[in-house]
Amino acid sequence: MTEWSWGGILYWAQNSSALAFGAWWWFVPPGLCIALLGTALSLINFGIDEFINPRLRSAGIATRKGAKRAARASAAGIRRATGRTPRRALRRTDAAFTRGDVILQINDLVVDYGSADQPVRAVDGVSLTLRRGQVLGIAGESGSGKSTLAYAITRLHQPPAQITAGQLLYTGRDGETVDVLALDDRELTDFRWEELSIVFQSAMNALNPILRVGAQIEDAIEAHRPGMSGEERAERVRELMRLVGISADRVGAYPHELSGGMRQRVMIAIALALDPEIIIMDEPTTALDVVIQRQIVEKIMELKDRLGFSVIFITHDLSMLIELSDEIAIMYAGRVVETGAARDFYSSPQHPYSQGLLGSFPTLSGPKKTLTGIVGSPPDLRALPSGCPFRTRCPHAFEPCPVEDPPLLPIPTVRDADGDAPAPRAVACHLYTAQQAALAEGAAV
Amino acid sequence: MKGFLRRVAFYLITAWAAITLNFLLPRLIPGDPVTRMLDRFHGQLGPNAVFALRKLFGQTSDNIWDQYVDYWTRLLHGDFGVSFTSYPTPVTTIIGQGLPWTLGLIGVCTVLSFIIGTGLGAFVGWKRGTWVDGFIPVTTFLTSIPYFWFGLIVVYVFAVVLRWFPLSGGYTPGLTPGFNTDFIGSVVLHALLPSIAIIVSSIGYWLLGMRNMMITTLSEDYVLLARAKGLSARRILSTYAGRNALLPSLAGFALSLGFIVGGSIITEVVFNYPGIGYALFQAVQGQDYPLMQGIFFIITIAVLAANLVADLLYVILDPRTRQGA
Ligand SMILES: Nc1ncnc2c1ncn2[C@@H]1O[C@H](COP(=O)(O)OP(=O)(O)O)[C@@H](O)[C@H]1O
Ligand code: SF4
Ligand SMILES: [Mg+2]
Repeated sequence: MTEWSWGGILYWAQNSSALAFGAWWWFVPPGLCIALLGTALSLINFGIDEFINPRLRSAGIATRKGAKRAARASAAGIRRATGRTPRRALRRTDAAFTRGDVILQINDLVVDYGSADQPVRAVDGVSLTLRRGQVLGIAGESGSGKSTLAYAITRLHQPPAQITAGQLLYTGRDGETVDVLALDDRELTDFRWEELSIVFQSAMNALNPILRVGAQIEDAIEAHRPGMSGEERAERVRELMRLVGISADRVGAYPHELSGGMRQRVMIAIALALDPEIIIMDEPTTALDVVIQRQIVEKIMELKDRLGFSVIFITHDLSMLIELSDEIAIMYAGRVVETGAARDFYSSPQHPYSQGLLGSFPTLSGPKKTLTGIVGSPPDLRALPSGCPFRTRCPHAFEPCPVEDPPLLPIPTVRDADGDAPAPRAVACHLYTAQQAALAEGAAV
Repeated sequence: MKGFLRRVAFYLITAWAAITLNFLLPRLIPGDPVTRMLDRFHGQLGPNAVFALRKLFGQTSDNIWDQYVDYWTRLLHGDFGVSFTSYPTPVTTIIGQGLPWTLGLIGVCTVLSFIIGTGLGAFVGWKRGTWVDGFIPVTTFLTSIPYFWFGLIVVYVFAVVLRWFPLSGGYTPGLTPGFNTDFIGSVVLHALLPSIAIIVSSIGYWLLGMRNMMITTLSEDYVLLARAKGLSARRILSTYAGRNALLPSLAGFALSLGFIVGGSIITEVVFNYPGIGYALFQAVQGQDYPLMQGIFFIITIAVLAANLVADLLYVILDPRTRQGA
């Protein structure tokens, strides 16, 4: 033994019973060094892990910071409910926002991802109206902020996402209006699923792989109806399964034992469990093949007519949306760039982006259109072009486009052939500035 | 059913390979170990033992196939030969004496540290971003400590200096082993110090693994959906996040069960504990080949059994593995 290593010192110390003779200095330092070195290496490893795995990272400090910032934001702009109000009898808000047929009113909603110094604005001042019993379709390329919006409406957004401004007003069947952003945790837990439920983008990921699908429907009922007996709950689960078109003897199946379409039906059954007024569906059919898509969409429409709930249907497939929606909003780079009645979108999409979207997909039924599509790729939200965010890809871009960001403003509408009252339309594009100005003048007169 | 049969076949083949290796190893030792050993024992070994020794090292006149058949026959009759160092005690007797101590101490501690470690890990993952993150550097440090060093320090401080705990053995000599309070109390007292050393130094491993899995699982859509449905925190923690996060830890746990026997050497040497590890240590020092061979056999069986347990646990906890079963 000519060279002294830490391990060697330990070995000799033990052999010559250094401890027994009280010669602890032979023994303690090398072990401590090894331990500290080991700790240092593991902590480096740990740091690398946190860095590489965004889930570990975002779950850490961001949770606290995000919560604090959210609290500050809400103190600044969003009113909070004070005190607990009993379920289903939530506080009334400004009567000005309550309109008879409006069930959900979204006003200037802003959702940011990340730190205060460099936030990514994934939803940028979105205002939308959902009416009772209707389908509001939201379309846009992937990355346009649709899912972020869906999570924000249900307040299921996770850090680093936070709602930094806006208002969400829900009007229940009893005519009472609730400020959803002001609900406290208890009220929110009651509100979600009773009034508003959601179907996630991927049924495979949204179902717990180790729990029978029946149990995953049942525990939603159990959480909200503690008084219900086990037998009643089981009966309700079977009823829901039949409702969405799965034979009731599949309650004991595990998610992996079901096909993609069946899993999506289970998701819908879960969303229906408490008979909510609104269901948000985030690309519920995207992962499915066309035939199954068709079946699921028809199922949703049938259930909607039967049960009377309203739907916010999100997809990147505008042609599908036109067939099933009452109203449509088009999102680009976190903003709504066009809204209008579904039938108007089919005959005359106004915004160049909507025209491009419609050209991107063949309609499920009806004549095939030429696929013109949209050139380029979705924008990087951290580096949006000046002025109109769409201008780098827009075939009609002209002088004002790089200078000014066009606001979403109403455009004139025409009575359709049946003489029905025209549905309001709005578009955010400089091509319509003159019409919009004329309309505003007309309204002012 | 087909998958199950395939598993069984896999275990049988692995066991066969390991046992055959155990047969071949002594035969691969270069030189003439038998003569060297006989010299060392100065004629204390009886003729039976000498014959057994020659048999063990393949120095009989039989061809290797006959030797192999003979080896299996003895194995199936539970005959591992006679130990040299404690001649003429049969190897099975020595193993039989040591095994309960090892299983009792290290087995219980392995299970305990897995349960406590994953439990704490689940909690720390659930409460991430709060003060509980302070657990991480502390447990990392405890895990990084060289184990025998930690054991010796513990022995020195608590057994030599403070004299709170006994220095060695499994129970106070003179007590009659059996179900009486004196004996059991003594066993617990003797096991306490090594238990603490084992649990403290291995708990961090489970804690960190479970914490990371927990955080990854908590960001799964199905956990978010569980929250959205309004489930109680307890139900989300157990049935949605916890059980899914636990699955990857199970394989590691099964392996550690398999290493109870093989990994017991350090603990039992440091704490002078009368288990299999201590017997193996003595067998290596005394070149007691029959005893070594017997213990290696036990280790093989333990590892395979542990893997079987892991497979079964998986089938119970993860329905996806039940497909086609
Ligand atoms: N976890 C996240 N952290 C930071 N930015 C994100 C995160 N998730 C989404 N984003 C940003 O939000 C934008 C909108 O994403 P998303 O709402 O998922 O769009 P969509 O559902 O329309 O495909 C993305 O382009 C991305 O830049
Ligand atoms: S504002 Fe200009 S760039 Fe933007 S969509 Fe209209 S025409 Fe195209
Ligand atoms: Mg999406």
